[in-house]
Amino acid sequence: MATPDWPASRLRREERVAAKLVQRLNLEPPIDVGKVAQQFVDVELEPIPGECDGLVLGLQGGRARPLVLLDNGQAKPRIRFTLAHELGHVLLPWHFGNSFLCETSRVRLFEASADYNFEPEANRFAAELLVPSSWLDRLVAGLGSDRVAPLMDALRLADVSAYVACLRLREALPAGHTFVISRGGTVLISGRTQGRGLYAVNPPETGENFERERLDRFAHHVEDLDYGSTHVTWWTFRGEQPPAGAGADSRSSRQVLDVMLERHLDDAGERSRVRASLGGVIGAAYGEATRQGPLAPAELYVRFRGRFAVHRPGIPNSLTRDPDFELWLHKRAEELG
Amino acid sequence: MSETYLEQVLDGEAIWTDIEDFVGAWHDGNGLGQELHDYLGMTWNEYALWVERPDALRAIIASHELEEPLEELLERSDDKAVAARGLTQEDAKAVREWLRQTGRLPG
Repeated sequence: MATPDWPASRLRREERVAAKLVQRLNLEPPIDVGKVAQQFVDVELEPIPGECDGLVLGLQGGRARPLVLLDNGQAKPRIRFTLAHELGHVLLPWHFGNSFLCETSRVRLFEASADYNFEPEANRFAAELLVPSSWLDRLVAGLGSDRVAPLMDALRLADVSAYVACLRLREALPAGHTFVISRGGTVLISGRTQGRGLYAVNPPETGENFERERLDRFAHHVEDLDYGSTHVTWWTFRGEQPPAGAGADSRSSRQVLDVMLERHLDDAGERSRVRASLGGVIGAAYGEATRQGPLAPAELYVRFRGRFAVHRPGIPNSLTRDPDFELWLHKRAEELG
Repeated sequence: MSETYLEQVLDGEAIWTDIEDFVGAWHDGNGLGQELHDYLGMTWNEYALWVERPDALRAIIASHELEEPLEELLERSDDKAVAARGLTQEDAKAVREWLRQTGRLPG
């Protein structure tokens, strides 16, 4: 397996501190975070009242070493993450305050905040420590980025939760992947890999019902797997799919679309408006694609399809469900590719 | 080393607990012509404070990051101050009480 150049420059500073530690201690998943922590702090595991996952005391002195207390009622991957998180407060010295009480399950705290907030930094430190970028990049280089399930399976070695596994892959994978972590039909957390526009297929958000039909229909790949007590779904909106039988139909894309519009819309003005909407969607997708360089029709087709994975109020659902809709997309990709 | 200890720490390029390595490097001849506090990126007063009170190092680093006067940070860094992150006020109160009862926080 080739070792890619480690793109340390893409890491944020709190991740660079964790990466330094990984490099210095020559760590590989599964990281023995307890052993790492022992170098800097004392650690005790016991029941903590309320919803507190962990806390660190004595950051500004008053003790020989800071003390990390961990709630022993958490699942093992969460205890590991909480310990790594508290270690982040210790090793990021601008986290000013003598003590921090933390509830690390609030995964939204990974996100950047307008207010200066130490928690996202401690979370990102923990994620980098438990799933080092250098290791993850080698994993992606070895297994590829077309399919996500093999990467998720490999990440089981790191002994982290589905949250952390997905959030780390979100950082490491190229644009064009979207995920949902759900339990009992409710979205616990969702996200997508980097990039805007063309690949910006936003999944249902936390707390919403897990409506997936449209994502399933327009994704290039759909991958489902159980991860701990949660269910994880990844959709891929990148790749290539050669036309199957589209060439046998001699019509142009315009002719195919005319027939479809006639089938679904009685009003000529409405047909004209929907035609313009469809043209706008494809035009935007093509514009973005060409900015990245010339693309083959098979790749353009996958990208065009992905644009319809989100609900578009101006375009009737019946039209996108029409059997000829795929044919139209294929033909449009062939004409533009 | 082209950057000072403080610059490297605040940029995530050095681990803050490694300050003795920087001091050792200065004694080995790095930072030729520089005084040690300059080599570390500290003012003389910050350096003097660190020598006298090694526990103050986090506050010195934080004052550079947060651009707050060191004296104010030091006044705020007492044992009773506990920042609750992501917890409800009720839970935070319960944990603080528990810490006091178990002798981990001063009463």
